[in-house]
Amino acid sequence: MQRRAIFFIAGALLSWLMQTNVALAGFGITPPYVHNETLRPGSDFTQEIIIVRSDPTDDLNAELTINTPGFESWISSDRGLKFLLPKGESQVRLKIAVHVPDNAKLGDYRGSIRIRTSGTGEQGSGISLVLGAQIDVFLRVRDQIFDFEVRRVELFDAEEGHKVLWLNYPGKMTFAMQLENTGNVPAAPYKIRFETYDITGRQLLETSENTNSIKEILPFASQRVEAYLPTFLPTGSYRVKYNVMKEKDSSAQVGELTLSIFPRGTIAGYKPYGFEGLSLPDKLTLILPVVTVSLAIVTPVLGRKKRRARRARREASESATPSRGGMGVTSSTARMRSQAPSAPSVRRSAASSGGDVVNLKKR
Amino acid sequence: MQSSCSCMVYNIVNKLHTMDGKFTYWKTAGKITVATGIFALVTLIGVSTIGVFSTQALAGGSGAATSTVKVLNTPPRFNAAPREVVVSATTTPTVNGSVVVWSADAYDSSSNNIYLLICKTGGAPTATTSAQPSCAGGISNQLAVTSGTPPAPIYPATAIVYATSSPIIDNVNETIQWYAFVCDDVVGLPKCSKTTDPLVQGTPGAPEASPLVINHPHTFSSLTNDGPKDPGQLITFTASSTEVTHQDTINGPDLATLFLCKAADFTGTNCGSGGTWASSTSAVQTNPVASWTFPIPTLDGTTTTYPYIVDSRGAQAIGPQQGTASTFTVNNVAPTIVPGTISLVDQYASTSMKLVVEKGETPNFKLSFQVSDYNSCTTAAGTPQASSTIITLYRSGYPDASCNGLSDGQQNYNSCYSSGDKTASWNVVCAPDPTYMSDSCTGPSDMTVGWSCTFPLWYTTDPTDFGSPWASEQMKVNITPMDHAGATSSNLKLTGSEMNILSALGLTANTFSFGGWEPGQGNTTIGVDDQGATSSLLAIEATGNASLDANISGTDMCTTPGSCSGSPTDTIPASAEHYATSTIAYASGVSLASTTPKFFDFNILKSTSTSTPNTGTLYWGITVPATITVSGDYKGQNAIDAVINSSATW
Repeated sequence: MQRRAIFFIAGALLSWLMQTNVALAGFGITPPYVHNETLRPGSDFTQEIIIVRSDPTDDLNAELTINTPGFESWISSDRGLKFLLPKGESQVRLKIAVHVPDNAKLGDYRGSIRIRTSGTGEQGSGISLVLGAQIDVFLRVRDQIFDFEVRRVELFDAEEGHKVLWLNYPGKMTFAMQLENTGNVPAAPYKIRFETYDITGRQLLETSENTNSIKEILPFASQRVEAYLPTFLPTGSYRVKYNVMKEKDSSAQVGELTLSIFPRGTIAGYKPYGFEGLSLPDKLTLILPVVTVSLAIVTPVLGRKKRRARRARREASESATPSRGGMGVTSSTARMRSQAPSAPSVRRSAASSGGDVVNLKKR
Repeated sequence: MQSSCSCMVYNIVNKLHTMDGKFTYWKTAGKITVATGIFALVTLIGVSTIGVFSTQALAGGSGAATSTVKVLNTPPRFNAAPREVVVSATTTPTVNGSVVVWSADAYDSSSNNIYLLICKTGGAPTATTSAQPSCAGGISNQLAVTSGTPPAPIYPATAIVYATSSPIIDNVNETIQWYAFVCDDVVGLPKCSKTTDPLVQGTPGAPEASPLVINHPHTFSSLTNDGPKDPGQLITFTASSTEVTHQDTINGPDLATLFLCKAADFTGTNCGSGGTWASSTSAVQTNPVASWTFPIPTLDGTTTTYPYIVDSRGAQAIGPQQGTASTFTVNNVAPTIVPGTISLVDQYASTSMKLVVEKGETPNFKLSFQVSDYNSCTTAAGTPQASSTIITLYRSGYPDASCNGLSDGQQNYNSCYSSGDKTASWNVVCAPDPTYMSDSCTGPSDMTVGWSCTFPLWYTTDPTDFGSPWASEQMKVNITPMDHAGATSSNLKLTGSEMNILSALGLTANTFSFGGWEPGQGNTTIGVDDQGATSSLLAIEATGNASLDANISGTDMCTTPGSCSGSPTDTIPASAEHYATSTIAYASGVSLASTTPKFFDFNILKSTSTSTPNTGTLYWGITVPATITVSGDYKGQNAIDAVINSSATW
């Protein structure tokens, strides 16, 4: 009886003490995945996950458990596997990095990462409840994928072109794009094409394409890039139909924007075209004369050097072997031969073991 | 003298006889006849000569007769041809109703006053003593006469004399012949130049000579236009105009050109410094038109133009509409959104948008875009053209018509947000944002301006990313800008942005009790204590925007948690705890796993109410092993991990 009473009391005490100590808070993560379907061997990808706490009154320990059988080594965390969720911070950023080995096989890879929390202080009585979340991992390794999305575009005001002597310098239209690389290789638009109409959009006035190489964006990155297009239109307002070409025969985005062209010198900070904006014929009118003059200067000098070198070689060979059996080559004859406009060419046969083969035809 | 003459005659006759032997005819009778004739002739000659000398002698000589005559007043005369001061010719006609001035360089040998008189006919005019002369036929035949004090140059000097007409109106003829006369006003005997003077009509063939060429201007009676029109559209003005009095035909018909000036400053050939709206591209005989396309942008409202018509020979039209203000109207058109300029991001400027407040609103989502208005980004008063904007936000698979902002009751905080819904609360702030795309409104010639709307989103917002039932969708917006006149347009646009899943759960109950048990005893029914009361339950809320399952695990319990000995006398294994979503038999409940979490198909559906999240209840039960011999405070730790529900039912 007494023993039973002791156990009862102990049991009651036990039950009373087995109160749950609840964190009394919510816990969440966003997004709850590491997901990429366009990886390729050797590529890298980072997923940022925000850990959310609704009532961060205490420090919490956080622990990651990576459960990705067959590809554990691909996954890493910028905070390591154990880190602190400080009190007072309702949001903590976590970056999960994925590095696909160069020899990774193509295919799908699935797994999960568990994030679990626990109190940092001494555990209270009874059962303590801790919250966590599962991060689903789904990776697809594929061959090369070239793709990007145009998130936003912007067309800046331009100044009209001008003429210097015979050279027509066009105005420079700057077309900015916010691009997101959704493929797994560096990507950039194939070309940017403009059709410029009058302000009503009815009459086509000119077409143009970008003159610069558009910067490539790394896989999975989002970046602002610029394209420069020439215009010979005068001051005024126009409508531009743009085409961001993904590849030669496909478009990433088409649309319409308005363009304002102002008189030269109007726009602060405007950078007009230089030599690179000239048309090919105009460029040639500058390049060809320079090239021609250069050749005219350089060619005789080179020719003279070659002749000197040849003469030196001949004199050296004559002094080393004054006669050859049966050939009766004299120095005077050698001089004559060197002056011949078409000296016999000397070809070395691939199968020869030595000695030169003389092309008798040219004699 | 007479004897000498006889001898001469005889010598002559004798010579005739002797010189010509053939003249045997000359006998005595013939000689006498001839001599007589010659004598008579000589006598006649002699008498005449004497007579002349006698007369002269009478005159100069003492004793001759004197006679006199007085020449009366002679008229003035032209020193140079009379002329129109302003040439009136076929290429430079005189506008009907104009005043014409003639001039003439003339003199008067008596230095009298000189009047210039211009008449319509060549009949002899009438000079008047001490007054102006008049034309033959009277005043109706007169075009002009010198007025005031006429010049009186002292002979032989000349003077330019002028004659100015009254407005010459001839609604019938295109040419008017004129005849010029110079007259004096001598008392008693005034004179005018002759009608036969070769210069009476000026220098023949000269443009300043007669006739006057009359140009009959158009009468401009009214102006209409086919407006109102939108910016970018063509507006055409038609003038009601014709040569009412007479249709000129010299050098072809008079063709009219319509000018629409911005100010009342027509110069006669073009609009002045105020500028030109438009002018006729080709001159026509009647009712000229002018048109232009309203540029984009053009401020809406009513504007004034000052119309003028001028014909092909430079005559401005007459009539009530010439130079009188006329109005035209540019329509107000609705503002729109510039494609490709929409940006929807979260507070981290990411298009992969995240909710970070459990059971609450995540603030500072931002929707930015460019508003374009063909009427300009500003009004004539300088206020913003686009005055407000209604936006809706929803996932792209949700019906457009169910979230278009056109009616109340659409907003549900899950699949649709609408700032136009008056029955729902959504704290959206929309305003022009000149920092967006660096697009501020620079003035009437600028048609775009950046706008941004910031707003919160509830934790119940449907996700569109990987793992959700709506993973194939994206966020979509309907932006309805409204201008100052209330014109609106609906602009449905995919944003390319995704709403991420917030996988979150929360606990509402902080305690649950297992009840009091002796070793070897425990709950026979999960969640029911030994008194039969419901206990040991745990309510779990879905505090994000996901449907949840759970991974559940726990640790063994002992009095020294974290360092349990594992002995059956003082360690209650985790597996002694069972749980279920209802009060079922303990044995049917799920045994709590230790270390490795066990998946539990909880199916807590995604919360849809902003105030009451969906919950799942876990009931617990325990059996204290009979092997326990140590009483005390047994502690352990149970972990509940949120797992995204893979079911299609959310």
